[in-house]
Amino acid sequence: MLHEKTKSALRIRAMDARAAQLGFYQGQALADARAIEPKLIAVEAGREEEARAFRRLAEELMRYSPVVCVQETGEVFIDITGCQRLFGGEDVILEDLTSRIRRAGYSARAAIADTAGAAWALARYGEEGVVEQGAHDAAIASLPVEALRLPPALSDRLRRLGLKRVEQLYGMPRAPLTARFTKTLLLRLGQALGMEPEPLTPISPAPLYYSQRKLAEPVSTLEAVKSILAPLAQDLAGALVRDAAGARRFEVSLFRVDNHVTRVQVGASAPARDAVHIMRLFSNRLDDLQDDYDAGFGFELLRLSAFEVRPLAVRQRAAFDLKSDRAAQDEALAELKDRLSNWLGEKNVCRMRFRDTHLPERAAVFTPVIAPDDKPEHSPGAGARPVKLLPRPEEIEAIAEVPDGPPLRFKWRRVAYAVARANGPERIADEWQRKEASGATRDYYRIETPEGRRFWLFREGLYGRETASPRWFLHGFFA
Amino acid sequence: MQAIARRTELARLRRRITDIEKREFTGLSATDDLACGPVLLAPGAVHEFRAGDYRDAPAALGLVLALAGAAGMKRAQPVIWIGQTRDAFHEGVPYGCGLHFYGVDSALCIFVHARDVKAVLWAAEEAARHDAIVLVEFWKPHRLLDLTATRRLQLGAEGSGARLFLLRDARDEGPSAARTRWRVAPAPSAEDPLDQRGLGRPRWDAALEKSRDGDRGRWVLEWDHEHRRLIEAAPHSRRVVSAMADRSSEKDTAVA
Repeated sequence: MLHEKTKSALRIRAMDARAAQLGFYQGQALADARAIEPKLIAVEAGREEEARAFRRLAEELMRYSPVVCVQETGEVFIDITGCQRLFGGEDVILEDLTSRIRRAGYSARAAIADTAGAAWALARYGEEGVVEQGAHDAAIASLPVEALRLPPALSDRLRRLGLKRVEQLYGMPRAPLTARFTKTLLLRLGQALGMEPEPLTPISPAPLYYSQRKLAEPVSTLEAVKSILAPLAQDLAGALVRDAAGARRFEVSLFRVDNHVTRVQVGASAPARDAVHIMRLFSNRLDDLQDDYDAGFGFELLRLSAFEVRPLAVRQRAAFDLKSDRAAQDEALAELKDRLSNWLGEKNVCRMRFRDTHLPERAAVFTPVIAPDDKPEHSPGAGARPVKLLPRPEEIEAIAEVPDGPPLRFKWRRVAYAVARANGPERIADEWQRKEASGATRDYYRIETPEGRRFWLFREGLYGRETASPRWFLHGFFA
Repeated sequence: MQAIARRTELARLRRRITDIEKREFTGLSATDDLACGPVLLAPGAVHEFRAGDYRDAPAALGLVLALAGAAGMKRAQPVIWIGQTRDAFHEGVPYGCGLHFYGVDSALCIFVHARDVKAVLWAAEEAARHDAIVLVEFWKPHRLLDLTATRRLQLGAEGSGARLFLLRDARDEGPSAARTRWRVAPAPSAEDPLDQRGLGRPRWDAALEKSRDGDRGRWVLEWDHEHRRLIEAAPHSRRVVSAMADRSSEKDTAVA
């Protein structure tokens, strides 16, 4: 039995079948229950823990369909549209699902119907099982009104008015119903009957395109997995070509016999759909799994999904056409980016993004080539800037002729340098609106040593106004 | 003064556009010459640039960027820049705002941060198989960068037409299959006619130490960012006569 603190008393939250037989009920004070049955085993409920465990369970249920939604802990909706064929029928899915959950040590009630609302009603208040297509309104007709997922206050009011069963609401005129019982009633009724849409938010984004294979005989070697993935990639590529689309992210889900899911994702810098390319991306990543690769008793279901689908025109390969030559090159470059990113890590293969700021270290940042380009782009300023920048400016000892002039000599990393020529200062003020701003103004100088080494130095703080003894830093290298 | 400046700038841009259009129409991209001083750097090859120590490394990098920029004038090739992440705090990281000076379009650049030497070599090999300009920073001598490794890079580049610029420490005695081997040191910059005490166009002291074609030589090279070309600097690094007489010829620079 689980209990938790509600309304300043410990109350029963959930219990097993034996406790229910003894007449305990949900919401009963734990003290009362203890008085009735002193041998009661009660454990405090952890809502978060429960939610986590349930989510894990829900993820395992993604083997039946990629669209699995959890709206409340303890309830899960699975959209199995189009998945029946793979498993050999809806009743097979239902049977497989309930027995799988029971084996995991939970009890479960499940129903399959045309609408999420009807399935919920049947699972909670009606008979478990599969309702034939189009028969859901008859199936829930005799159920109590609570089966419509109504707030308790609303169902109480309906009951007091003698509206106890769902079918009593069927023929009622809509306007008075709305007037007396708010829109919720009509919405829930409509959703159960399939007249109102019911948006479901899946626990992980549902792929627009996926292809999957259920295996009669589970496989466990990596080679076998790859050999099954290849035709899946072909299928997926075929569907993408048909719709003139490409995807920027692909995921392989390997469903183990014992309720465990291994997922591997790869990204693409540009929409991709070439089966060979997809396989090559996964090949590296699957080999990389090594220790994480645990086939257990084998995988019984493999799914390859495509996310971030974007339009991608079908390329016509015409010989001696310069345009298509360019396109082929772009494609080859995109594939190179993907290979590098997936092998070295996405954050290690970057392009430059320029930001609207004067602070040199913030003006140009590396951003992964595999990343949605939604941030605004700026162009680099026209000022003279070094080719290499130290991530952290290094403090140097500098001697200047005048307090606000370029240095004459300086010492960096224990080596002394003379300054033969200098340009500057270029004054860059720290951005006061930034949280970590130091507030000090920087005066930048380009300097050249007699040998021709060119450095970017700055003096921090305005002499006399911001500081009495300004510090000098080396920030970058000119070529 | 402003109006004149604008007009010259417009004329210059128009010239460039015509150049670009001409190239597009005639498919002139086949003229893939890239000169480093009087020496042509063949496409589809590894070219090695060595610098004395870490303080000279930026100079070698600058020369290579100038070459990339000059090559980019002819056709827009991607620039793939490969280096090791752990050196970042010592040697600095590539800085996007400084690239346009060398005519390198940062939009065409891909920056690859590799964990270790093995990853650098793997990435370089992948990149070399692509028609690109590949910059590989390899400042720490390492036994993995040997004859076999450089030959693999060379083979990859031969197949694709890529130019792979390998940046190394001059003290690295490892053998290499590179097509040319240069030693680069910084040289005092050219004179800026407007500012005697300021820095002028960057210059490098470049010595061709080895070449498969048997060339040898040593030159002072200068980057002309106006025309995006690498030129041989005049033997005198500083002009002796007054800058007055040369004003007209330096107009472009003065305007910019």
